[in-house]
Amino acid sequence: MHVVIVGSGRTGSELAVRLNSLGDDVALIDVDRRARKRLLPALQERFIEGTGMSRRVLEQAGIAHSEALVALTTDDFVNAVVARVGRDVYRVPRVFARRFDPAHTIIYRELGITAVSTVQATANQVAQLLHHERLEPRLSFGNGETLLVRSAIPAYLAGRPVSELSVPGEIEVAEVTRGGHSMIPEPSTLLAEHDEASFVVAAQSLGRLRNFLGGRWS
Amino acid sequence: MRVLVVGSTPLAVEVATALLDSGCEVNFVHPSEETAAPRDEAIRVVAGDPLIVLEEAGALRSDVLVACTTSDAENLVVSIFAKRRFAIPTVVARVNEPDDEWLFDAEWGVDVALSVSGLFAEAIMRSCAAAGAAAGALAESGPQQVEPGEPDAFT
Repeated sequence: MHVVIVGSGRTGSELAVRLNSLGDDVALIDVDRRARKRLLPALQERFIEGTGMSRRVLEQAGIAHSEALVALTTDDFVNAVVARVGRDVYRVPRVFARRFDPAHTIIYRELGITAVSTVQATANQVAQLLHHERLEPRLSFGNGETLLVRSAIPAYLAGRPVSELSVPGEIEVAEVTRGGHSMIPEPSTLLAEHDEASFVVAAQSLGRLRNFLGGRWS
Repeated sequence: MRVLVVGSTPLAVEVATALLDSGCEVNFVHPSEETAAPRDEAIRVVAGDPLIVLEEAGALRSDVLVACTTSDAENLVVSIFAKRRFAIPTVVARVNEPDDEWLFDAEWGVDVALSVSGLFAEAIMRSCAAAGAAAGALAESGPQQVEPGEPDAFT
């Protein structure tokens, strides 16, 4: 897979190393020529000095036949413009852009670009560690706004319907495992002692789910 | 006519003041406190991130928006917001880097793209052409017409 990475700082170069080891063909673009020296020798020849808004630079990086474009500069405006140009002008099938300032979410939403937020992901992760240490998410979606978590059902909830644990827009029961057998419950399914359940939960509703479950996590 | 100027440069301030002098109602969005804002009290200045304060600065009732920051990417994003969200009839955007000029079109909501270096280069070309024409006229009429002692004849 040919991947164009715009912004060859810490994240860009780290991503290039990983993709390179997975066998991808990577091109890196950065305005700062010193960024080349920080790359592994094998990647240095894949470095192009310039901006990701320049047609010449993008085409030199092989954008026309790339399968993915990642905009990772420190400027949200540049990332948004580069991502849209990649998608709309060069028809790159997969495009992602980094977002620094959460207030700039509106740019990415308006332009329909998938944003990866370092700031929000880190904040969510640290809040998670501080407040829900015992709860390890099985999966995290987007920038950690939505999580899939698993917990044992406490004895006092036995005999209660699954619907009592569901809060539209915040918490849904995705699955119940009983005696080693997993099922997707209906709202009327009654919980039993020794059940385990998986919840799809909004990050800000973790505290609420913990209260439902009496603070006990498996 | 109502004009909304988004800018963080002396040029943006100059544009806002000139528009005011020509009788426009001018609002000014000032993205960075580190740079100059218009001092004329008749220009309403709104400080803050342009995308967040555009509406407060009167984007919904502006006839023209001028995106005049030093970042081409910011000018493009402001332009497309002006067109898509606020339907501003005329969007004028400043091009800083000649390499970026290809992006400044209707796809980004830009009606008029103005490149400072491009305009400057054009002005120089015109001056050269005028000088060339003058030189040509002199050449046609023959060198004997240039009187000795006047080396600055066509400057």
